[in-house]
Amino acid sequence: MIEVEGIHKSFGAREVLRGIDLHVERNQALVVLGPSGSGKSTLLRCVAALEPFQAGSVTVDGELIGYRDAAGQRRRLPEKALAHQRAEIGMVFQSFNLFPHMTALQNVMLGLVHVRRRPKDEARATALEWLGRVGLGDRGEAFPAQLSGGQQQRVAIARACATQPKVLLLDEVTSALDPELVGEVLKVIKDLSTAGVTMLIVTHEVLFARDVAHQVVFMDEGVILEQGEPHEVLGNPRTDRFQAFLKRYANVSMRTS
Amino acid sequence: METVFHWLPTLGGGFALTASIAVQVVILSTFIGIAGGLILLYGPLPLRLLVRAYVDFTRGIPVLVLIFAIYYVPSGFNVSLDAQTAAVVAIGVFAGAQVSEIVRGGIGSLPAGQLEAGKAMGLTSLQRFRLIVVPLALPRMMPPWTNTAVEIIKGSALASLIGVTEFLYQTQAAVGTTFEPIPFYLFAAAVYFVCAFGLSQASHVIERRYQYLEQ
Repeated sequence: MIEVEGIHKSFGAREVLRGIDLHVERNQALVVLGPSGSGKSTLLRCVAALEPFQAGSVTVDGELIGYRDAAGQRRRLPEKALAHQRAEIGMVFQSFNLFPHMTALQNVMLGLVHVRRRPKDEARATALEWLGRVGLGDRGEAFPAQLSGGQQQRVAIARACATQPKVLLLDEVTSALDPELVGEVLKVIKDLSTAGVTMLIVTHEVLFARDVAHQVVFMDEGVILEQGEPHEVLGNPRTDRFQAFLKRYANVSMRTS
Repeated sequence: METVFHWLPTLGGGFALTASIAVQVVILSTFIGIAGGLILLYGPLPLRLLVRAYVDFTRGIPVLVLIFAIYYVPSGFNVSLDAQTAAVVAIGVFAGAQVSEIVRGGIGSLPAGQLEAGKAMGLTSLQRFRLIVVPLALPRMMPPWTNTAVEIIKGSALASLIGVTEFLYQTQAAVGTTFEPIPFYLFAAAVYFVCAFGLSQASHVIERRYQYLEQ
């Protein structure tokens, strides 16, 4: 469903991604682990068509993302085409980024009404259904400032899912949360994974990776060092850096139940 | 105080003119400021530099110089501008530079994350502007914009220096006739204060009303 091939990305002289290949199967969740500054978030932003990159390609469901081929030259797509592609790639951010001037319900409805062009009452029904699925069916009228971090993030997940994008990208979605709020968000993601949503997840939560991932990737300094099924990769880290990473984050707790 | 009462119709006429000038200037400077601010943010480089030069130049000279320049310079080319129009244009151009900066700052300081969220969900740039940028930036611009309106009301008194018969002009006329400066100037100060203070209080109310947007 998501094919990433040989992505190179630099900011000025600093090369952040140095040839990344990834493959996410339909209805599966791939978890990217890695220390801060390893380029994980940049990778997600490239996949989400939010960030241009110098070489390589991303395709989602067979469609080349962010670029077109013009007689052998790769050209960045115009803004309108990018918007069209972004509609098929849902994204949830570390800092929630809800629209503070809209209620939770309006946040979830926005994409349905203005991107998917659904009639208002239909959009409202879909949005309410999604708020219900993330356990906030009764908080639709609340503004983001009236919700806890965990609740805001769940609204953000509902907002990203409501328009039914082909894939969902999650960027450190629990990193800005108080520890006691992490569990409620991870539970929602676990439910999505069970429901067969194709997801590319960037996280520090090692135990969560073990729980939801079909595939796990460990990334450091812009390259992928290890990848495979969670039990083999997490149970048997081969590189020193991954061992060090696991040791550092193994005690990060997870409460999805 | 009795003499002030006696002069109220004249002073009232002056005040009406002051109010009219202020309203015209606020409208003019708001239009200039929206255009200027948007160009500073999104305009092509040459246009942006031009507006930047206008803003920096205008903010660097006294309003009074601008009023005199706009009133007297055209007459050198045998174009006569009536005093009131000259005052409105001069103060409007001056305040327009300030509003340009307010618009630029109000939009430019929006948290990047929320705009990015709109981008990621597939909204076009025009939709993001209409649905996210404007509703978030407007409340941010209100307090400084009200400050500018207060400056405009106070600055309109300068129009008396090119003979516009506004509030301060009529006050001075009354003083010149009655030789009683103290009650008239006290009254004028009180009137200006009530207008300016009332406006900034209204601004505080609006600011509190939208405080929930700033998390």
